[in-house]
Amino acid sequence: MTEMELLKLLGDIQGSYIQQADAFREGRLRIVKKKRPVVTALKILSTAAMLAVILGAGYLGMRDLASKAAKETTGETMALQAARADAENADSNWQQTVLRDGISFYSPDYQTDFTMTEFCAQLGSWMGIQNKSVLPKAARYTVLDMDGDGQEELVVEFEGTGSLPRLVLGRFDGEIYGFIYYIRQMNLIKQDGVFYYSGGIGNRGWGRLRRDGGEWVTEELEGDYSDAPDAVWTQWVSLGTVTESDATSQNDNEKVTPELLMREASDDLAFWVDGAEFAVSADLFIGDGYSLYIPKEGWVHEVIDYHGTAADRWAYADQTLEEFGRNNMPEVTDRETLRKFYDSQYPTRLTVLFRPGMDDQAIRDWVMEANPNWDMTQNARGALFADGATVEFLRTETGVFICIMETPAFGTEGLGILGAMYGSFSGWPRGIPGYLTGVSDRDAETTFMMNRYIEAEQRWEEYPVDCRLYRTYGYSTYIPKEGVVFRNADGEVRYGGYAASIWMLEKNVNVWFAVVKLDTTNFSEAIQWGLSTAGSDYNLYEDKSGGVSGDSADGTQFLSISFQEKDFNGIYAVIRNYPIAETDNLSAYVKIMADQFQAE
Amino acid sequence: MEDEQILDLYFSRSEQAIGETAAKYGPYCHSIAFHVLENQEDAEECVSDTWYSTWNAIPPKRPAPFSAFLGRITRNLSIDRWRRTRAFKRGGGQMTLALEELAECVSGTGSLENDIIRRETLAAVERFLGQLSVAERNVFLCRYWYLESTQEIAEHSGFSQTKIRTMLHRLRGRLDTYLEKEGLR
Repeated sequence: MTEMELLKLLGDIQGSYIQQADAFREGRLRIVKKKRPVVTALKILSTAAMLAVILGAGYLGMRDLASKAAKETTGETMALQAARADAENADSNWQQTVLRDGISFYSPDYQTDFTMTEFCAQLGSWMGIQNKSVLPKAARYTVLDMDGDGQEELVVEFEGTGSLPRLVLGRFDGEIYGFIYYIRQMNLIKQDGVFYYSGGIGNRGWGRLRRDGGEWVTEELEGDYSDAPDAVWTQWVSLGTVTESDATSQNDNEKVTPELLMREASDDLAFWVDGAEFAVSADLFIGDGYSLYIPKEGWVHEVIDYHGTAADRWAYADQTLEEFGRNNMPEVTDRETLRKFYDSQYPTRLTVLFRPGMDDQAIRDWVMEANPNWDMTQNARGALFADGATVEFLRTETGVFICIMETPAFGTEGLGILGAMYGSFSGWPRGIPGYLTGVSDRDAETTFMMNRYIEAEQRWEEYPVDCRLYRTYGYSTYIPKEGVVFRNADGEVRYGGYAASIWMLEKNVNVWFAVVKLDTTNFSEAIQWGLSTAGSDYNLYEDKSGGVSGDSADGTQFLSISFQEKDFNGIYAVIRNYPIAETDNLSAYVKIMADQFQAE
Repeated sequence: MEDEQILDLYFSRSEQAIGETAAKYGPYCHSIAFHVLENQEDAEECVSDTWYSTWNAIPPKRPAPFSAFLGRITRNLSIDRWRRTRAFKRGGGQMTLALEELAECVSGTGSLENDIIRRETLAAVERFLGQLSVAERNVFLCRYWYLESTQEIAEHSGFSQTKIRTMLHRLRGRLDTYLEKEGLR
């Protein structure tokens, strides 16, 4: 059958269907929208409670929970329902509420109450950390019955500088207490709450907590628990961290206001689940060249490297690892493995990126190439569809944005809230230049011809290096497509006190290129920073380019730092390092990246 | 005027039948033709041809529902006209888009010349449509019978465009699977 045959065949279907569809298009037949009473109440009485219901769907999926809630009949008042929902949520899920700063806990160690964020600040202060951007933060957690009383405790691990303790939180007479345990006091935690402790020579072994009045004591256990299954850790939503440089860059967008875009700063996002309409309060996010509404709660924003292009991503926070790790992969405790597996299985997220310099088909091919596991089909409008993912291409006055919606609920219920978020997307009017969109385009991909010396053959060879454009807030450069590993500027890689984006060669990790945004606009200060950062390890001198460069003290490495200013908002340090032995070979890779760097 | 009265006029061969039909169903038929042809003049000509075809078909036919009968004629005429004229025009409009979308559900090889196969296929498509929810069926028919854009359907239904697009995508997939299973793709 051809598509035309099918289209014509449809013309002969029974008249009642045609009539019904006509009534539908005339507005005489409306789809019955089941309203969930509790949602209406929560809209009025408690936005938080409403979001708790939606967020509470967790890995079970919004659809199931929302559907269940929609079927509830109620004889009690909406206010009571809302209040009860609040109370039940807080009670049954206090662990996550604590993590979200929703409940304070008492710290016997500090003899005061803290929220989780306050506690992190306290830890940072205790560690002597002044820079807020590197304060400890909750990294992962597990919910276990640590003391065998049938109640689940919360164990939190922190990430940051130094050896940070764990925090074990439990309820004592209804109050939540958080006790600090250092690694030696509590390590190798098992699923049944048993852990390994070390109290000094001759005092180590396996133990577990036991309640003793208003505290825990460690009870020694006989036997070896090494082979017992490890506790399953769940990553807390630290993926939401926006880097120092990203934050600075995004602040630059503050010059673009909702008024300028003629949009409300806040609005409701409406979406449908199981025939019922839901509305979520949302704030306008002003990205670079676009804006869209993001629910006020439950979604975590991160700036990611999407196959070489900076992208804004919102992940559904409560659907990250917390339930998933506990229920699906008990054998995996490695955070990164779990995260990767989870991301591949149950992502609920919206990713928005701008990829210039490509025609319509090339940009689609690029998306397909970037996601080889997606079995994509392209519809007539050019949107791409795969199970669990929809990719829309949005042409704005400033160019084409890619909007990637990923949700496990896609199969039956469409895109739900993701669709509403996407539906609120709007490009900036042409008159408002963005960092990514307001600059002259560079080709998305290009090839550089480089030279290398073939030692064995005593000759020079010209060879092509295929590169792709990397464009992020504030700058762009070309990165070789192959043989280079990127580490994102999520704060974990630091150089001279600043978050750094670094690209290392797979063949030799000592060949690397990095970009750091300094918080000075003074080139003299920038040079001083470069000199002091390299310290006595390198003999640097000011070079012709206005940067600093030189060999390492042991004569094995070469380091070069050049500086580029960006809008009087700060200076980028463009750094390349390679072993002297690679001067005629792999250094070409970092030379491309450094030479092609452009502050934007 | 009620449909039965209009049909009586046709049976009595009163030319008033055409005037009454045009008065009652003119906008409806024009809407169908315009969605296919996206040209005011062509649509008007198609609607005129519809009155002519109806005049020739009744009697002996006494169609019910009358509106669907008229709509079907208009649609067929419009599609035929679109096929004749598209070679001279650039751009496709909703018709082209709909065909491209429906291409997902078919083999692409002509097979409905045989009347028996055609009737079997039609029956299968009707069974498929019968399995859908009212909302799904209406959305599907608005798109592929009335050739409305997703934006128009969104406006009628109160659904977001994204939901409409997603729904249509899923429905095409289901139709594809259904026809494949029936050996009629």
